[in-house]
Amino acid sequence: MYAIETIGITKKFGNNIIFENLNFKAKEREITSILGPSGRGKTTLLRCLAGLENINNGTIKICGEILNNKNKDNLIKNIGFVFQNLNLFPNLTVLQNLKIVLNSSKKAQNLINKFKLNGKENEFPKNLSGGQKQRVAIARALMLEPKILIFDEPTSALDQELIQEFFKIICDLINQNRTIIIVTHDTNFAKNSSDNIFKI
Amino acid sequence: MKINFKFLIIFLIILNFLSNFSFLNACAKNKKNKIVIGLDINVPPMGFKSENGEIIGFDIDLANEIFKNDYEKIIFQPIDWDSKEFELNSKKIDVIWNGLSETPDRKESMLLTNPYLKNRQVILVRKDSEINSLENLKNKIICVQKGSTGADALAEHEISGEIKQTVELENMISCLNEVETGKSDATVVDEVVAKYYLNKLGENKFKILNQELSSEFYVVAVKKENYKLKEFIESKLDEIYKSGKASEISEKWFGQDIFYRQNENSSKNSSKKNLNFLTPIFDGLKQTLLLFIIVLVLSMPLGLLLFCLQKLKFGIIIKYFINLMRGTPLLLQLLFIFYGIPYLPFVGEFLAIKSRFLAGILTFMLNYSAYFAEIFRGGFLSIDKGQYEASKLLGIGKFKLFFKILLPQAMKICMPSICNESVTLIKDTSLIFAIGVQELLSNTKNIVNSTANIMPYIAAFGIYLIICSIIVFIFKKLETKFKF
Ligand SMILES: Nc1ncnc2c1ncn2[C@@H]1O[C@H](COP(=O)(O)OP(=O)(O)OP(=O)(O)O)[C@@H](O)[C@H]1O
Ligand SMILES: [Mg+2]
Repeated sequence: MYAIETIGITKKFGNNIIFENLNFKAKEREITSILGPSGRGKTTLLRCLAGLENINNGTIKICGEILNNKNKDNLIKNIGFVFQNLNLFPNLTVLQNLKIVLNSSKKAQNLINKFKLNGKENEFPKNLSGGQKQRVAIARALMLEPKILIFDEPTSALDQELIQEFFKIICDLINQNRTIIIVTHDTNFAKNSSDNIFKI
Repeated sequence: MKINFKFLIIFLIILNFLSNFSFLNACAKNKKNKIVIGLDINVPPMGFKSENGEIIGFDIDLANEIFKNDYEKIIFQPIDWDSKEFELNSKKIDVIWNGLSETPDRKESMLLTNPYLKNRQVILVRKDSEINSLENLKNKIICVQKGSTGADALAEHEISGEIKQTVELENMISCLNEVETGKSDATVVDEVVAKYYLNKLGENKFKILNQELSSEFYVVAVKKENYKLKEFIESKLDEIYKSGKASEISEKWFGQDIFYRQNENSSKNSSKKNLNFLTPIFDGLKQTLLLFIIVLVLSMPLGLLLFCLQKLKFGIIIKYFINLMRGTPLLLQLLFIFYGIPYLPFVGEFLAIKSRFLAGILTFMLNYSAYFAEIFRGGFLSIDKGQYEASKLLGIGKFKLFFKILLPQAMKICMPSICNESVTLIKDTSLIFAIGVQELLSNTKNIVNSTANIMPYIAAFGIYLIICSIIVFIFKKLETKFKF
């Protein structure tokens, strides 16, 4: 069973073909890494999966259902997306960043504890370190408890120690029966951490 | 902020000092050329034509006394009483001095001095009449001069319901005649007039009741901005009051001293000449600030609304509107809305705005909301599109996205532009002068014109500068409120 599956999808920006007839599969409860050189279209693929870009051809299945304009809003609720630049809301504190997604103090506090953000609840994102910001972004994506989590280059801004910490986090997420898709440049990380590697 | 206050104090001290000088200079000037006094020559004993055609009267004597040392020529110009304001404003006459009673309307349209007489509407009866109080007037015949203040006072007084009959006659002499011959029991008359006749005709024929129907003050009027002349007259009135000359003139016409002065203290207070030109400036400042605050408070949300409406289907109309507002002079818009709209066919009558100030506020609001809409557009444009995408994927509603995420970020980005726009607005407020609202700059200009003194301009410089510093200071404070 695949959490996400693409069947012969094509994406063009104008006449510029980014990928053609692409078949990508991510198995449920596994970590799938996407590897590829810069500018190859990794981010674009993720954006297509999350419904942020329209595809020119082919089909995308999420949790077995074919993505179309009607069920888009509902299907996308299965996906948590951690952007390359995180896209935290700069005008909201850590706690507010979580609670604006879902107004549940209990859930937010649990995630804050889990991601060791205690004491930072009322800080604005600009006052956090890179690793802390990333954990806020992950926590925020988890507020809606999505089945699939997509990370765009999560390790590029982290040092070795933080990469280890990140690895622990995603292992934990797998233990919660989630599916993980990670785009990365880091071949070693991909080899060591993931169940499948997809080369683009 | 401290610096600003220090600056203000130093500024006022210098102002005070310099204006003292200019005041002394003005006093030291030689005799001026001429002064024209407007009057209605049918008001004995204040001003009227004597048997040999000369204009005489209590007011005439008083005016002569006041102006004789400082003016070469004093001209008494009979005018149409109904157009007295026009005569003043068009500078055909300098002063109205003719038993002019103080009314709220006149305070608006002209500049009035402190009162020099207190006039009451009194009841005149025959010396041997049994009428001794207003009560006794029940079921009596009362005679009044047609259209006089006395006639109005009687009509408005509660006693008017209980009298037997009111007889209206053309002039005062006929009224006195009626009473003397017993055709009427009493007449209502100005106290000053009554005193004059009593003095002239002898006190044995009539008596005046102690109770009055109403009372009013007689004042002198000058052109609205002519504070200098007003102060000159007031100080001279004080002078002839102290020297006894005033009571001498009063004795001559009324047989007693009825010259009126406010108590010494208050008249001293009102003669703080040094900083007096600041009064009209501050009056104007009030208008300026009121306009500024109302426009700022209203046009910001309106601008935000305009920005949002642009996204809708009919948004193109809003874009045209913004272009119209930004592409044409504010002055033209002001003139069009206040003077132009009433001439629109069919709808002009209904759309016309009577109040100058309201018309001004509306125009400024429309104009500035267009600018604010553009400022907000810039602010929202510079927000990263990742913010929209993140909230879309997180299922955050449009309303929450706008108010909780985008608006605060846009406000932070827009703050410097809004500050800049506010500083422009405070300076633009002076344009409202074009539709006849007296504000800071126009009042300043008027004082300079009438006093030939440059200080008001310098005061205006200072005031605008201080307001701008305060605005900038407030926005600096507001910017620090954005902690993100
Ligand atoms: N909105 C867009 N319009 C036009 N071209 C785009 C757009 N987004 C991306 N591209 C192009 O698509 C190609 C793939 O971009 P993408 O961001 O997916 O690369 P990537 O594999 O994520 O690279 P990197 O590893 O550097 O992040 C690039 O050549 C880029 O110029
Ligand atoms: Mg990328």
